[in-house]
Amino acid sequence: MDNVLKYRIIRIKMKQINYLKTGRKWGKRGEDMLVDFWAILIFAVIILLFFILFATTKSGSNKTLTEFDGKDANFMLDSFLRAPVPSEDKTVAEIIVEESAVDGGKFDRTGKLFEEFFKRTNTMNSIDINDIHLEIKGYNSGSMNIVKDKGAGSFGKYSLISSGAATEKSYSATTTIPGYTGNIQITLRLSQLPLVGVNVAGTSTNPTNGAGSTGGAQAPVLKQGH
Amino acid sequence: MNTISDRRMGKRQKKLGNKGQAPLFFLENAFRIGFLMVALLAFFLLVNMYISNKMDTNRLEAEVLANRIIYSDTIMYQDAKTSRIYPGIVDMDRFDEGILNTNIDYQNKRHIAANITLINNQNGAIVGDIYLNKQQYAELNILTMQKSTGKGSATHYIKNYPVTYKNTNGYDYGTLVIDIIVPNS
Repeated sequence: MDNVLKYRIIRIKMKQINYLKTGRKWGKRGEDMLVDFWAILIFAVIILLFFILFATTKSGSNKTLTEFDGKDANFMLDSFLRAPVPSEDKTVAEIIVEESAVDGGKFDRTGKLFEEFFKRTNTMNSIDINDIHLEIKGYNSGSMNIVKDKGAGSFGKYSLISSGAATEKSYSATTTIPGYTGNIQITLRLSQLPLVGVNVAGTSTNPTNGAGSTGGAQAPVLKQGH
Repeated sequence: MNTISDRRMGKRQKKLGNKGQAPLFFLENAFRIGFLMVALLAFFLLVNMYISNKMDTNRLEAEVLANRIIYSDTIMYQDAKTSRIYPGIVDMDRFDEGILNTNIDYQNKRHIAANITLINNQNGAIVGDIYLNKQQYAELNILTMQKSTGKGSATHYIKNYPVTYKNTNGYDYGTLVIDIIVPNS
């Protein structure tokens, strides 16, 4: 090896040894570490604050889209209650009122109308509804009690996705109509996946991740089996 | 006794020794330099994350259009005397492409488009099928059917609404399928 290079390596090593052995240097290094510690701590706190701010803002912006899904449930309930009953000069709401008083809360006609009305809600493959759930509450002994509850058990054909899916959401709409003996409260619940952009081959993309960026879509295809 | 060459060697070694302090400096401050780089990177990343100047409004646009269709008098029944609109009851006399495009007249024809289909609940037959901005729908639909991806393509948003519609025999139950297609950019 070249003498110059040897000398250079020895010199660097000596400096390192001196640096470690000198008490004064040790002391200074300790101070530096102390200063660095506070800098790191402040930096970590700032990062944490940024993340908290960012997380709060994100949840706020998503709220707008969730409200739209809730409005769909309102529209569906409204549409169902004001729907005219075939061959009768009545609406579904009037049938519910009649059945709550006359038939002792059996709601057989309401059940049939409910099934008929929501029969093809899952016609297209963009919105997958797990369950459409109608709950009728009426006054009984001064308090609201469930009179009729029709859920997935009666309408299994809507259960296209295994229940408990990670992205499943539930929306509900409630309204009160006057009955013969008191108010009747009607609640419509939808368990569905949030509306998504339809992607190639029917797979869906999460809107929060930017459905647009995933690109292509499939032409809508009628679902079979309804 | 030092020769001339030894003295020259000493000067050269001294100069080299000064230069050799640079790696030592970097060794001593490697942690600080690394920390500084991480801090700067984190600063710019966080600022970029917090200041969002790019938003994906595709779904919002689709929702606004769908709500405009179902809550307006475009295809829904409106009482002639009271002017009250009944969302959920489709007026088949108004279920017409001309009326739809006149009532919802977007200036920018190269953007959003929709296909509205009314299906009979009993037999699944298509009762009516109309388009908003049909030319644009056809163009974008071809892109999506060709599995085109990216900003040049488009995304479908399909919404189903159970409704009542009036036919010749009276009222019937149906499902209104609104297929909205929005360009990705």
